[in-house]
Amino acid sequence: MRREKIEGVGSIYGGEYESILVEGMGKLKGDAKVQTINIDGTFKSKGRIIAEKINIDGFARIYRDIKVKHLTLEGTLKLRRANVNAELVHSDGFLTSTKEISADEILIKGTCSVKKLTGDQIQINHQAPSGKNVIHGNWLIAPYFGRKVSTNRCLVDVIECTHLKANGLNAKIVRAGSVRLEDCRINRLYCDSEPKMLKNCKIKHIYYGVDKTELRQKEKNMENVTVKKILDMYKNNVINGDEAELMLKAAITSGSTQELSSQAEQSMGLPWEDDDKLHFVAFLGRKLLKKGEAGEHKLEVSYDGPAKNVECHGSLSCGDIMGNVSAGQSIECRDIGGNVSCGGNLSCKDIDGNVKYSGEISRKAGK
Amino acid sequence: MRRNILALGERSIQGDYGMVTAAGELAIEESTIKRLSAAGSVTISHSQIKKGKVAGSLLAEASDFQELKAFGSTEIHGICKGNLCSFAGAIAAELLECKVLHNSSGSKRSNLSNSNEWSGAFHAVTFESASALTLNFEYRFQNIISTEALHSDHEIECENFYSLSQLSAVAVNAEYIFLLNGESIRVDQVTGSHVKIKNSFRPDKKFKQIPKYGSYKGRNGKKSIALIHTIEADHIEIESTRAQLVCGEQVNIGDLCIIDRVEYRESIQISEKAVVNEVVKV
Repeated sequence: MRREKIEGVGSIYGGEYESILVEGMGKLKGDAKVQTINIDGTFKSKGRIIAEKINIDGFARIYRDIKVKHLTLEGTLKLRRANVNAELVHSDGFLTSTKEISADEILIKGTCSVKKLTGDQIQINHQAPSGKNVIHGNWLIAPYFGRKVSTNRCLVDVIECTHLKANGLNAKIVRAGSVRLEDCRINRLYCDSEPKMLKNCKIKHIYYGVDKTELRQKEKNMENVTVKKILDMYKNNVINGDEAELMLKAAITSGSTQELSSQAEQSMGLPWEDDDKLHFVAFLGRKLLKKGEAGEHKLEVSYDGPAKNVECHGSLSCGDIMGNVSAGQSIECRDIGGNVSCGGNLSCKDIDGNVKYSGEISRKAGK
Repeated sequence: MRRNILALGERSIQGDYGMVTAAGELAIEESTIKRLSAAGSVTISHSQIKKGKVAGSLLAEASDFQELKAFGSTEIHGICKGNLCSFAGAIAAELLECKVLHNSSGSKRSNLSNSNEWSGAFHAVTFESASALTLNFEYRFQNIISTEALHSDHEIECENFYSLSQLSAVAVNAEYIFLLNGESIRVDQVTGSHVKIKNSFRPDKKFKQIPKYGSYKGRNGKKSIALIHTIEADHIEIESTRAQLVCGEQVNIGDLCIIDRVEYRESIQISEKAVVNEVVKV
């Protein structure tokens, strides 16, 4: 494997490297897989980086995602529209990110302004920048880094972790198993256990030890208040009947993240049109099992009642079918008004259309 | 002098051509073509095409297109560049860079919408989606305009985002976001500088300045309520939206909105036809 060293000004086009050392001005133009990256000068990356170890003593601007085991920062790192996925992030310098930094262990001792920090153990100990990390020209900083930057505090929008220990943190939302805070400003703190706050902490909203039933009850109460308000508006002729119906329908939707996602998937992710057919399918988690996929072979659906057209990816057992029927495995039913396509045995009464089958066919007795 | 060619069956060409019309199997190598119309299987490598229309399968390698319209399946090897590229059907690209990239639904008679599967890497100033699409490929778009169902399992990120139809995404992050309340809008988080969710769309000056392929007139949305968990932006203007948290500097809550909590910094306006359970000045 190659070793790349830039002492003056140079570009690297990407590929696999044993090491990259930038002592002057270097630019990475493509994706790179590297064992070690050492940056002592200035470095700009437009390619995705997969590395074992990255040490930044100089100034690095990264515009694509990084996957690294150990990221050590003593200089300045600007991450713009780039995620960091690491095992250990250790920052003594100046770190900004407009996206997410996730690592098992995150240790920040310098200054940072990050959109989202995710990890198991997160320790933030703010220290004002000194020496080469001091950045001048306040009015230029926010547009340049894409985020507001403060030399007095570490700014993070969202923190999600198991254990958080922070000093000099300013965060909008913190979700953690346990927290230990000192001199922190947090808008909303969600914590499983009672948070430990040493001194000078300002937390606007604290939710700790709230069990899920309690939360659900709160949501339910909120829903009831909303429904009452909508009905009042309707009674006072502020909104008409159609508008009230529309609002009530939306109000009852809880709007929780998971529910929204699953609804969205259900409405958008299904591989068929709204075709008035009765579809029998199976989901493995959120994944739709299709014909021939492993684990689907024991799928058996029983439906009692008349149906227009039926499409089933497993075995089918049902009553009369007015239209066509298609099943991946065997079919057992009464009269079929249309065509039949069957992957296994077929047992039915009268069939008006054509028949395609792979197993045996048998006619049921009776009219 | 430029030559015109009519090719039927199997044919390979190399050189400088005016108009090339072909049906069957056509291989173009190191050529400059003013106008190409081909049906069947077309392979283009290291060439420059001014105006190209291909129906069938297209394999392009390290070529430049001034204007390309492809119907069917397209494969792009290496880096291909273009000014306007419109695709209807499946496309797999190592890297396609163009000014305007258009996801077309094909002709009205053809039903290619179900086979619009995109994979690979795409860079464009403007991406227009006129056919149902899942954004699960690598992209770098400055502007996104979607007039058909758009789905993403990840955050949709760009500078200007216009959704004029169905939208389902984990998050949308853009400087300017416009969502037309249509059949269904379901997003967990909307983050930006300006966020507008409206029941009607009128192209404004900002929209008109965006380079694009399609022509967009004003349109009205359908009666429905957008379901969004959190909206965070400096300037927020919303109508018919159900959200749990709306957070911004200047907030305008319009008709038929149901909001659990609004956090604002500078100003707030709430329509009498809206339900807001909690208002907090931050």
